[in-house]
Amino acid sequence: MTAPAAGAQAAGTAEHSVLEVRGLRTYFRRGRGVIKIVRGVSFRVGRSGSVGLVGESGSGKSLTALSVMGLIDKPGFIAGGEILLNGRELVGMPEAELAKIRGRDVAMVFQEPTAALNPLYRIGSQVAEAIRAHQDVSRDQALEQARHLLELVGINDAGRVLHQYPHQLSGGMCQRVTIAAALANDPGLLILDEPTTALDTTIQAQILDIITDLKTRLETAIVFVSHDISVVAQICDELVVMYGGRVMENGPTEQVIGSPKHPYTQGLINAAMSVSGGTGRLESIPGEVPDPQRMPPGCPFEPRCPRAMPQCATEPPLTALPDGRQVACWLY
Amino acid sequence: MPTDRMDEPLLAGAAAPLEVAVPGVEDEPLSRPAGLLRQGNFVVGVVLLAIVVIPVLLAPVLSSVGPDVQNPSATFLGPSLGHLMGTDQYGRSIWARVLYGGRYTIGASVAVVVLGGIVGTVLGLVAGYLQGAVGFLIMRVVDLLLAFPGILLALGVTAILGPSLVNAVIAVAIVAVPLYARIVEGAAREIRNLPYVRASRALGAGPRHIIVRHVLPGALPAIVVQTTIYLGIAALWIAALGYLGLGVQPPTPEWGQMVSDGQASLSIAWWGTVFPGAFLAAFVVGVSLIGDALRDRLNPTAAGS
Amino acid sequence: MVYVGKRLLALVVLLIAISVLVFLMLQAVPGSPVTALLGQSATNPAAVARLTQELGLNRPLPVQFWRWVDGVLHGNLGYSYQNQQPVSALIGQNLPSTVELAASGLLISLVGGIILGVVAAVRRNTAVDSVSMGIAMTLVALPSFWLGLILILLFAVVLPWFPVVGGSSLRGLVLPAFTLGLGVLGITGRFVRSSLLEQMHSSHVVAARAKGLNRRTVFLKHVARNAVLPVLTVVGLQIGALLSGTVLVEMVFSRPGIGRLLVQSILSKDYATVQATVLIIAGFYAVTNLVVDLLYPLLDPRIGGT
Repeated sequence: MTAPAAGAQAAGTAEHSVLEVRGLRTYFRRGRGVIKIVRGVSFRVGRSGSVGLVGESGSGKSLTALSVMGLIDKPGFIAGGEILLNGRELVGMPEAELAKIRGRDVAMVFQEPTAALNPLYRIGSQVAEAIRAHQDVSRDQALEQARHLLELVGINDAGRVLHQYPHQLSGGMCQRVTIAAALANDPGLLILDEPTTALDTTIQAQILDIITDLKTRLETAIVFVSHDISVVAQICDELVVMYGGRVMENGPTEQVIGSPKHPYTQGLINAAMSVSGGTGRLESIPGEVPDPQRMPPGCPFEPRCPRAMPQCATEPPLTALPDGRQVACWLY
Repeated sequence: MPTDRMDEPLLAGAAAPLEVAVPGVEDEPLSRPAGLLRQGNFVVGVVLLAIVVIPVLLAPVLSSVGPDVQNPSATFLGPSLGHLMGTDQYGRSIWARVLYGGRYTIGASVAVVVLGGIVGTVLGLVAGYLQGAVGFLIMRVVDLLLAFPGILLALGVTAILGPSLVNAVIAVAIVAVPLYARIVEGAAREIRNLPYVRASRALGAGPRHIIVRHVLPGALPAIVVQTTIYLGIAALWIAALGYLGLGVQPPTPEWGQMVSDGQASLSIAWWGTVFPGAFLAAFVVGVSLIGDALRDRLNPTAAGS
Repeated sequence: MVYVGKRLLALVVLLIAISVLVFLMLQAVPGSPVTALLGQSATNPAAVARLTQELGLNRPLPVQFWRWVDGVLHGNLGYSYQNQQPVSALIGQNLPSTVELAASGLLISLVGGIILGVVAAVRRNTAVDSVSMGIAMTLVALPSFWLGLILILLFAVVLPWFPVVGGSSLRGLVLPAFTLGLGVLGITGRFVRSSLLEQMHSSHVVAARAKGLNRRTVFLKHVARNAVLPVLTVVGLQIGALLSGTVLVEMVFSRPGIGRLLVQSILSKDYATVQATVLIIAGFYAVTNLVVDLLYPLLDPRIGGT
């Protein structure tokens, strides 16, 4: 894969982007107030690009993904910002039109594979359902396509699996099925929300291989949401590091991992490396993820940042660095 | 409560099950210390209950005549200032009969719940703690009793014992026993396996000590909730038996029996039927609301909210 | 198959246990079973002797039990001296009316409960929701005999639309059926609501929407279909409430039926009939529970070992 030198994030190549998110704000109404979860997130995904949304739980990354899919319902709502999918504005689009886009131009894979499948219907029926939602084919044709899709994700016994129920399959198999269903209509963008978190490590590796393989073969753009930076680093060309509902840093993976600029990113990488057996001591970022209702003013990471300065009481803007990356930190 | 709508209220809440660890963003606000008083259903329940129970308790004060006082010249009078709820075919004050009758209906219901509750709890504790053959046997008997739907078992018992208020109480209590036993057994079974209880057993604590100190307190919330709910059901069944002539015998007033009395003259004197039943309904609704509110507080994982 | 087998076996055991208990009922009546059964004619020594012989009351209890069961299985449910008829005839005459009443009550409670539950779930946390659930709870708390009389008052006396005494016509069925159904409807409504809400929040529904299915398809195929199963459980419970409810409703409306037969026999100390009706009703309830149990594997592939 060729990583564009400056990534699609900083360059203003909107026409070539599959997805462009600008200043997204997603809130939840509670009582008479709102809880602000996503507080102004921006990033781009180029055609055939792969962007990883990284952050601890509570960073707002999953909600960002759901916002793109238009699956935010009461009491949540999109308070502001733009989401451009292939140039079309999704925010404010009526539900009927969003339904036409979902599954066809953008598809999603969820965290709990067995829970994402309806336990009462057979696998074949559920994959076929994804196909027939957007293609005018007969049931038999859809099932035939479903079989191919299952083989595409590495299920050898596709014919038999078609007739089975979700509870008869392992977690890994279920996840392959949901990926197959997501790819049913060859979407330009595939969003994966922690697709391997609920699986065993060995299965994780298998699923990641499948995703990498599909990415190369089908040239689908990918958004991979995860709390595990090492996983995202394997799959994605670019990383977007999120914290407290905002973007802390973004840029090409090699650069972000190789020379992380934001203290939070550094902390994440240290923690990840210590787990995979670096120093023999388990490192973590001291402190806890902030409660969205009690977010400090200014930089959200300030309470835990080893390099906090008085300036950090005001929110640092996302600034571009000479090498094309972007960081939100007063250090730069 | 949010009343705004987005386009599709039909499928609200899509974001809820996923990553969002947003504190307390749920449908029903719960669990604040003074929460109980804030819960609408609790308040309404208490009010309803007060409306019914207080007059009943104050019957001698609130009623100038007794429930048995007949007045042949004042039969079938409609509700008026002189007779708040009118009179029946013997000229007796319905108001007095409703108030005094409440003592029988409510009193009997309380007796049912106490009797059935104690026996059922004991059985449940024994079965749940001891498990094994004893537990199995007890629970099979419980299952057998539960195989008789609704009022059937109570009818059977009254058939054997004969109609009277005491027998009605016994009959309905017998129906209550398996309900309590089942709930207490479940709670006891869970509690006995908790780590600190196992530790206690390992240290040689006797069954009586463990049951009293650990199991019973743990099962208490469930028992309390069950009691409030069952109190209403017991009242309905006591009254039902009264209505069928299998409970209290005339002339003793009791709400169910009064409804039956009033039925013959329904078209000319609706008050004889409507008032006692209304009081009964209010009592049951009040108790149920309180039970619901308690259940929400003590047992938020229980279904049906 | 194992699933079915186990359930059938459990049913048989239960029926046996029920019959033992019902048999013992008669023994528990004060006085001897003979005097109990004969009632008025208990003073006639010839009748006493003959009945003693027939029932084999000289024999040990288990033998008596077996003779009774044997009789039941052959359709001999005893003889009602009060009514001068075999009990089986009495039951045969009254059963159809009760079935009619119970079935219509069930229909009303299901239709009403589903509508109530769906409306409340779809408009949850709004005034509509609270009102619906308030109605549901109130209906459950109303004494059924009182409700019946109120309905008579309103719709037969004040508004003479229906007959006061439930006749055998369709019109005569309406008020009793509604009395029965309304009493049970509340529980169904609450369950339907909570079951739907549970499904609406589940991951597979979100995933279905993510596929781009329109909301009606999602609701029918994924929300409603999955919500049916828990509701089935409730329906099983409702049948018990319906059976027990027919007793009161038939008395209120003076409608012939098993329930009224039971009450009348209790009042007239017709123990043979009491015994038989209790047995029939309890047995029927056990069988319907089994049927509900057997429906589960048909609706949920996870149950029953597919």
